[in-house]
Amino acid sequence: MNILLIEDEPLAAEKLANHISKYNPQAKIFGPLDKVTKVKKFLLKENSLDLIFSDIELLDGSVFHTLSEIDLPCPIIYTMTYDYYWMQAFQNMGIEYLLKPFSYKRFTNAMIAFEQLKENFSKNNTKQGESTDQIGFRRRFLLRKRQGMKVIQVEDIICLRAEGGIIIAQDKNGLNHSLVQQSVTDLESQLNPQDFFRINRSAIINIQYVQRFENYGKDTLAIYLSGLDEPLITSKTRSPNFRQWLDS
Amino acid sequence: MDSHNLKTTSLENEIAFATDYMSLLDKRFSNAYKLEILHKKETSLKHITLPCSLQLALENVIKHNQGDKDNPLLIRVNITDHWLEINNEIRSKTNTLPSNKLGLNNMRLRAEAILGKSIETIQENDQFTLRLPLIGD
Repeated sequence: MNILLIEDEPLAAEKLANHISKYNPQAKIFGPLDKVTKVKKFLLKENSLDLIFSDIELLDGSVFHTLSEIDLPCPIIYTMTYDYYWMQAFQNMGIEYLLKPFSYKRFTNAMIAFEQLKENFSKNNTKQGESTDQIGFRRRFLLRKRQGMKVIQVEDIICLRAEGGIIIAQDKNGLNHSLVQQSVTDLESQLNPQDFFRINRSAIINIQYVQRFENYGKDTLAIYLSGLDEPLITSKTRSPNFRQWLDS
Repeated sequence: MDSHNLKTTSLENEIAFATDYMSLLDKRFSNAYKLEILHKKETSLKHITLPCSLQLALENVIKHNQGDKDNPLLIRVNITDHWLEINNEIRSKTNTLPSNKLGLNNMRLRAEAILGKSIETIQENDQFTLRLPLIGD
């Protein structure tokens, strides 16, 4: 585990480094960095960090401005002598706020919180990885109808949209079906990414029904699907990926 | 710290206290700040001033200015007949919160009320000087 210390008081840095070594003798400790200018230089070239411990007021000023400028590689545990900055800490990748002086026990609580977060996130990542590796993508949906159950094939679905708390699948005949599934994100992972693409927070479309698309405002696209009167609008962040997906 | 309950203290006490304080800061910041005290006249040591005012002045310098282990910020204390002057090069910290000047304003009010003479601040080029009144006994 690679840990960076940002701290302008040598004694405080030494104490923290001792805590870290006691907790995890294999941890590699970088720093301590005592100035904001050094922090910036270091973070621009080093990105193998797992965790940062950061004091807030350094010899040459406050650390937040620089941290918010950089795409941080990992979460931060802030250490400070007063609680004035805790809100800014959470806006800058903070997962914990240790008030100095803190005990070894308090320190270990923060480390345990960090490790739990890490474990939970990596679990999610492998789950997603598995579902794309499998060939077992969803081929059909079961629909609950008044007269019993009905089946709809995924290739007959033009698009799936979250509307008013439920998810609606529109089929090629123009019929709307409400699905039992609750989340667009879950559906996205169940559908083959070669055929289906999530164009914004609430809609997933089927590539078979894409007729054309055009620019729509800054960085967004209007997509026309056969069987749909109104175009669907991509979100800014997904527009570039949409072009790639369609072109592949 | 006994001087906390007193309204005034001798310059001698004040300097001894501030020197102790500074040696703690040297430990804390590994000599990123350096204190230099100049006084020519021994008599002026009997002059009186506000207790802890020199320490507050040093705190103020450190709060607003960058320290550097390789190039320490020099804080000069100069004692004249009527003033205790604290001078430093201005090396402003970056991206800090705007100051509400509470420290200096409090000191000004205390000086006016107790010593009957106000403090002075002088900002010239890249130098900042704070002058605390000294009263002869």
